[in-house]
Amino acid sequence: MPFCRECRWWRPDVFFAYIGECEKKGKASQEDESCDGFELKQDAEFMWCRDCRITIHRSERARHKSHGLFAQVHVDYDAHEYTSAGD
Amino acid sequence: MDVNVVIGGPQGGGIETAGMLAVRTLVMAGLEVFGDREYHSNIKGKHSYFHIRAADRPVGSIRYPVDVLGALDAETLGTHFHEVKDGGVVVYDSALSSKSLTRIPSLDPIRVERLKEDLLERKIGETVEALSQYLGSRGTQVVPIPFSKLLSEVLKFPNPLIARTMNTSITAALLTLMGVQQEAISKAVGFLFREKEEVAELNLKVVEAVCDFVKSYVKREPVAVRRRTERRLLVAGNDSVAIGKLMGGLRLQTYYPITPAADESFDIEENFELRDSAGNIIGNPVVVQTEDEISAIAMAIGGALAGTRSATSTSGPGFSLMAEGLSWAGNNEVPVVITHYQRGGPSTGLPTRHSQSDLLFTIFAGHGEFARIVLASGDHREAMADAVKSLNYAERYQVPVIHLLDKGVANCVTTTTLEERFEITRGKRFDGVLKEGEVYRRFRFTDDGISPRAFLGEETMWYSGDEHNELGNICEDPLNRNRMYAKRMEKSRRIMEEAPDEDKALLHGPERYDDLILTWGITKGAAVDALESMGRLGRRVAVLQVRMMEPFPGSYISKFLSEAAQVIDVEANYLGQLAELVRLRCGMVVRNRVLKYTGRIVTEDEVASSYERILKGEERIVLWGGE
Amino acid sequence: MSSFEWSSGVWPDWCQGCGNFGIFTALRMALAEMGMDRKRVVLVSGIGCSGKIPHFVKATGVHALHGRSIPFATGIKIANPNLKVVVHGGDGDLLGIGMGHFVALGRRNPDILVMIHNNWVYGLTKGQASPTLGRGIRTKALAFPNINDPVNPILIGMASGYTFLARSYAYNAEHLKEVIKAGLSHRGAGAIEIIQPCPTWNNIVNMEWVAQNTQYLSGWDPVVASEDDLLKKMQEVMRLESMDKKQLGIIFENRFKETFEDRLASINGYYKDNPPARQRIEDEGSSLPVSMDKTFGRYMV
Repeated sequence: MPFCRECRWWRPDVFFAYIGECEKKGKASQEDESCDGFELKQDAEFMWCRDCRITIHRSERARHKSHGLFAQVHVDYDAHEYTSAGD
Repeated sequence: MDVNVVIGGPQGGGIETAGMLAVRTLVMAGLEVFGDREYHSNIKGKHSYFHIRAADRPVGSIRYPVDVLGALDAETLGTHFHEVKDGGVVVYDSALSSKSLTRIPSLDPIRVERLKEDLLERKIGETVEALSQYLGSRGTQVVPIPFSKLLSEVLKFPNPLIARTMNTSITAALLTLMGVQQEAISKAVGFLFREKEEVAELNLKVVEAVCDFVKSYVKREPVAVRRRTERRLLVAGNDSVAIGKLMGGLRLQTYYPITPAADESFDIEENFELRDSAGNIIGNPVVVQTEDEISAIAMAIGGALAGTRSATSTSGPGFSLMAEGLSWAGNNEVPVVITHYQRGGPSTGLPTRHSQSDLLFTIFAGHGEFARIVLASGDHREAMADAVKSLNYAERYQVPVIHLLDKGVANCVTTTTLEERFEITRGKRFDGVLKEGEVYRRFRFTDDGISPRAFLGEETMWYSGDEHNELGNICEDPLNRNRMYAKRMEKSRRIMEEAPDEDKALLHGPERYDDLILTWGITKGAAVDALESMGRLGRRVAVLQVRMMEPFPGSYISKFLSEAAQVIDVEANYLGQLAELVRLRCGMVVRNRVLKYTGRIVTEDEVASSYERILKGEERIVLWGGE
Repeated sequence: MSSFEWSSGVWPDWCQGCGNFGIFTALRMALAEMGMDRKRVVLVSGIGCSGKIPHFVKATGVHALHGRSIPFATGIKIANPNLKVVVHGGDGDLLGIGMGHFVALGRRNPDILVMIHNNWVYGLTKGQASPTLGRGIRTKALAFPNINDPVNPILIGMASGYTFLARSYAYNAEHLKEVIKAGLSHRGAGAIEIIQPCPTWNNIVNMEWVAQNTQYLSGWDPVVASEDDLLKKMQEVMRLESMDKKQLGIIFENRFKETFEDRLASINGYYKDNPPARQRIEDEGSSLPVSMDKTFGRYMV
């Protein structure tokens, strides 16, 4: 069975990229879980590479062949409340 | 021969020209001059004067009492009469005779009060005529000349021309009374107005008429004209620094207009064509007037990164704005020069007056710790050579350099010797050689702490205000931080080790001394000129002029100080900042301090009389001579 | 070269979803497509998240002071006009603390392109309102809705004398790349306002907002046809900028104004052939044989 990490509804966490949130089911799951609501994830112009931890453009896809690329990422809306100032 | 002349009048009334006419005449007569220009922060109307000292040997200061006073208005007479020695000469337009000395709108009310008290005490009526009588009774030759009548009747001048040539009239009159020949005055007029033939002709007529009228009053021997074989320069400090910078390879100057620095940038802009003896253009600097001082330091840094010798000129308020830029330059090892002409502070302060009150500021400005050089010049010739040295030091050690001057050096005009060649060192340059796969590292760690420098465009490199690695990219790694920080700071030690003694401090006077005058900046001139009279009190006196303020040559200075029975600090600020610096860096306390913060330069007689008072036991003396 | 060859390899530490990634992509694509000579390119930046971009691009970078990237860039350009100088800064950096310099660049019109990464906030210092945040808007970090009015960089740029003005969106790589290429090709002072999403601090500007509040210019001619046409064009731009939706594309281009370099050359005839950086200043460790008489004669007696 295909894993969540290949599914278009799964959004990995930015820092803990092996955990994610399923937008369809509305709950968290690990990257190697499976379910019957699976749909293959699609490309987008800009994707997040969880291995390099940067956003890349589709023209650079070739350099991230075996990496985990995701069109959407789970962003904690309240993340700003626990950041320190950078400057 | 050593004569002191004061010419005064309302700003905008031609004092500048009058003063320069007198200076040039005396210079063309073969004398050495030192002229101090004093003026208010005002365009027209407030009092200004030129105090010119002419002698047959080089002088670096002015001296009181005044021998000759030329007054274009009653305010000048009321303000300066007390400075004239008994037996001196006073010249003015006889039309002023009935004028009041105290009912003058442009005269500061505080000064009016003081004048009234003085006149009362001396039992002088409050008119020019009354003052004239008083001065006459003291043996002073008072010469009221009917200038306006002379110019309108003899020369048939209409009024605008009379007003415009009043300055030439007074100057011609007082020079004649000093014993200067008309020919010398006419030659100077010809030079001063060389670009405006009509104006020159007009003024020559005035000179002829006035000299003719005055000659019957002359009581002095004619001043002997000395033919000088060697070429000299007649410059203000702004001029000599401009010349030095251009000779030193400066090709980008940025500035925001501020007194007393702006003239230097105008000079550079006007002299944008550097020619060799065949007339070929061999250099052309660019001058940019920026929107503010922050832009000025930023653009100068930009130019320096691109490999151009770059500098900016400013004064205290502008330097305050440059503090952040200075810190960036320190962090990024940028060879940029800031020429800082100190003026009266704090804040707007006394924009047109002298001070030496930014010393500690220039050494400690800019947040964080980084290596910089602060080099202080004591006279005009030094200022020229130091302008070149500053550029050399900056590129050799890749540090920001502050060339520290003051309004005294900036504005005083003096004769000085000519220099034609200077040493130029561009420091360690990157030779372009990279091994396979290697990239250029702007901040490469090296044995001597100086990284080979490539200019923008020669290689790809990074600069960042953030702490950075050898490539110049942001790096917060603690060990890299330690190493990079030390790399920058160690430069100070290296500079101190390698700088020649003459850049650290200069001893003037006898090598063996009892008492030592400690000073810096233009004050050095007054101290050195006073050596002769101070020496007559029976003790051996010398002057130690400190030049390199940062890194401070502590052990070198200590040697000199420990040889003295008494050390006397003389400078133009309240704290005695150099003495404080000596305490910090040498661990030695200099108790005797002669301080002046009125905004007027220290004069030779003030140093001599203060020295005498110190010997009698005073410790802290505050000076207030000069108007 | 491909856009990858314009990456320095330094890890871009922006937040996931940051518009800076889009700008970083479009910039590298533009440099690659234009075949720029790497050594000639100098990116000058200010302080903030956007200011870090030079470190990630494989080209010379000068990461300067907050608000001061423009005078740094101007000094570099004047000294060596052969360099391709580009400024990157945030809206706070360029339009707040740096506004004096932003205006001054327009007055001078040197050949420098300014890219404004506009996210309405001061990201790196925790999300304070920036000069482009609208009144009454409350982004995540604000305790109260913003009480200041925003500035419009296009209009200020136009009033200041910029000769190229454009607006684009960080995540439309193709559009932004073309706008950047046009800006780099333009000769004179240019400014591109780039709408930059900031997922950490700006909860308002997302893809939906962009779709509803921006409009791609179509049938709009930004080019000033003649010197007489200038005023009319400026008035049209003002009308454009008063519309509800922000216009995306090249908005204004004036080719009739001399650059600062041209003007310097007109008062200093040697400037073009011998700009400061190219001048020899010494002769074997000694100053050049400048003749005192011929150069400084006025000071000699």
